[in-house]
Amino acid sequence: MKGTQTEMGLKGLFMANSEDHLLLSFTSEKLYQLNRKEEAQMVKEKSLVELGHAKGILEKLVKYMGVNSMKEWLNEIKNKKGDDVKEEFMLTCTVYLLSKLLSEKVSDIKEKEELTKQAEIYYQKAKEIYEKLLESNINVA
Amino acid sequence: MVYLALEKILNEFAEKEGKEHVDTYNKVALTAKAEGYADVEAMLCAYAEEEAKIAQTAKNVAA
Repeated sequence: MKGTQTEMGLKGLFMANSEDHLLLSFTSEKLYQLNRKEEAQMVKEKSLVELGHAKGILEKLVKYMGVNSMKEWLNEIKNKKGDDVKEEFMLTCTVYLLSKLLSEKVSDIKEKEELTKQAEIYYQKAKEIYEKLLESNINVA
Repeated sequence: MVYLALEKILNEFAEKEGKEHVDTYNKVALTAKAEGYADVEAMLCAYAEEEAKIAQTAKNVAA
């Protein structure tokens, strides 16, 4: 699969799903805080569907390209800078989810711990960027 | 004000999700079929249908 359009397409979809998963998850938390519990639950369920899609796509990438190739991809994304806050949010969400899912696939304990820790750090970073996005929307709302 | 901002985020999400995202799923599915990955094509076609439903839910919540 390496070098094919399918590889590029699947990676792009994984990134979009990572972003959508956290965007909906954080939005659900905010709705819950506003006592919009029914809406919060509906959005939360959809955030989990996005997570399921991301997992399924990663399974195919691992099946055809191997875990090591995915680790290389993770390092590439970590070194990328977004052109704007939205792109930065997508990259951060991708590093979070890829780290988290790969931590479940590696057997080396040290590597597993590093990936888990990295996932936690990028989750917090994503949450901070989401707050900025929300703030910018409050200012124009 | 926060609720209005959340509505705006969900509306933007629904618009992007309902058009671009579903189209992208279908395009990658066709590419996968052409390149011989029938299992990937089947998975993406199933996901594309669910993505359309996600967009609809976001739209309903934001309405």
